Amino acid sequence: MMGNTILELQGINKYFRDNTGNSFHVIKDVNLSLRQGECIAIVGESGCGKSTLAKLISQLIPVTKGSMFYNGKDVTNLHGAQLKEYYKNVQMIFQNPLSTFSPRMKIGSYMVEPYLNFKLMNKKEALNYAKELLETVGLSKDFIDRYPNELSGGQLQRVVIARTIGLKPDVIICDECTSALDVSIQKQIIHLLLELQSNTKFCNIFITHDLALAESISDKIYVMYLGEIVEILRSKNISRDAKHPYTKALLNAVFSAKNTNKNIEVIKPQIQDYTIKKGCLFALRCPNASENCYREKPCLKYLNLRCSVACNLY
Amino acid sequence: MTNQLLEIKSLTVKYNGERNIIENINMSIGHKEIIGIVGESGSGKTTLIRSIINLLSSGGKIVSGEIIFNGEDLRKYRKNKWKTIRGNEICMIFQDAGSFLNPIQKIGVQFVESIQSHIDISKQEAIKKAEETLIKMNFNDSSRIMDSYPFQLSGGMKQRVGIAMALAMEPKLILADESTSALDVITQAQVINELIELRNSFDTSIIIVTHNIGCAAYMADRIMVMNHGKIVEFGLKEDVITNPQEDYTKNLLNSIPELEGC
Repeated sequence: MMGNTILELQGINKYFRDNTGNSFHVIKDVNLSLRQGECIAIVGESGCGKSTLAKLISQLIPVTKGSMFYNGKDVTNLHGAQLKEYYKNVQMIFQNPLSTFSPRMKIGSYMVEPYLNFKLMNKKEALNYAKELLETVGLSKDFIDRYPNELSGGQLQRVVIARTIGLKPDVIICDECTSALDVSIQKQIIHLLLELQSNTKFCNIFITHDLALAESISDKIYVMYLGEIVEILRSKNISRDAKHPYTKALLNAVFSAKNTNKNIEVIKPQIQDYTIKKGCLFALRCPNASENCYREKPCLKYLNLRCSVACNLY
Repeated sequence: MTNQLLEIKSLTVKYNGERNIIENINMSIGHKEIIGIVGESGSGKTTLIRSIINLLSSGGKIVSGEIIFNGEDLRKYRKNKWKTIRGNEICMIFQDAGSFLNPIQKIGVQFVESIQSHIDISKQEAIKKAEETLIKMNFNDSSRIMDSYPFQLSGGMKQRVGIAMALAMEPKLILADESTSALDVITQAQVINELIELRNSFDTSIIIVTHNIGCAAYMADRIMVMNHGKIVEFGLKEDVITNPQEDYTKNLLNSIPELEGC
């Protein structure tokens, strides 16, 4: 294992079963590693398994096959106190800030909850700590006595971030944490995250479907398609480096305000077919698919420093 | 100007008698035109288009102003009269189409009900019409969709079903309220292209409300920027995007993450 790798996933698989007994293979052999202070982004369409992967990493749902290492230790099947310790170190921020709050709980009691649960401090200390944290994320400490409905979405998301960093976790997973917010608020939140990250050196797994956003925040971008990682890109200039036809399709679908004459081409709609066993999963929608693509399954190949791709063309 | 489809003259709306949520709005939309309204949450975008279709949420009241659609003042309309144009001539696509579908009814049943409540046709004809519209929305297997419950469809699919329901009546004016913000980029591009296609083939006018300026810039002819219930800037998209006059517009444009080298 590498010196400063914090988290490593090896061949992670996840099956879901529906009530008729059919099983769906939603995460397929995902390998991923995260170094200290690194920010990675996971992008893909809805339904590609981004959020499932996030839940697997944060151990909200169990892994079916594969193993996960945290600081060199196997954490795939943790229980009890060890699992609680893991939860403390790997924190998640969800999409909709309003639904993470109980409407009848004041911001103060929401903020102190984790510190009391993990028995880090007593209530009085926790409240003071919460006030400090609110100030680090640019909110007034008076917010402690407010109810969630008195705050805007952007403010609530700041409270969530404040509570999360208060635990000093090693890994923060942001699951579409800005997609419910306005672009202007989104920009503030992203700035805040980047600033906090440079101060406290946590790793960030940023899940989004917005490639431009992913590019602006992360060091490495993992592109997922139907539960598989199809391309890994070094960030910045991904529109030049991207090789996989799916990534290109994603890039092509991004609306740009600067270039309004950009021709938005749309590939065929997604087919949620979990039964494909042979060949490339993307072949049905791929503009460059050859007959070979339906027979032979591509595996992730290292092309250069900036790009690894799973496509038969390369 | 009589050749405008919709004209709004000095419209002011209040909720529960508090301050004005939107104030003195003047705008018009021509036939076959697309207008994009952009602004942050709370800027009054939704209130504006909801007042056009007379669906202000509780407590909302138009204080003054005129809304003229096809030469008739909509504010003089009574409940029965509204039934004849709402859904038939003006229709609205909401932000979260998933929550407007009934979770315990199949898509087909709801679709047929919606068609039959607007036009007097038999069930068989309504089913046929529904399936045809779904095919236009890029659903290859429309009969399977008709036979599904909302929870069996993805968010993008539900949104497209919602749009299909709105389009089945071939309305003259579509009001789309953040109807693509919950979708991922590919589905969003699909839906947007579909709306543009609709404008080209049925001469429909569209008002699209969004906070994604990129999206508005791509599809709209004119762009209106709103802040605190007032129009900040309103003009041809080329002017607003490339040569914004107001600081607010510039800030909004700067907030959008852009791909490098694009």
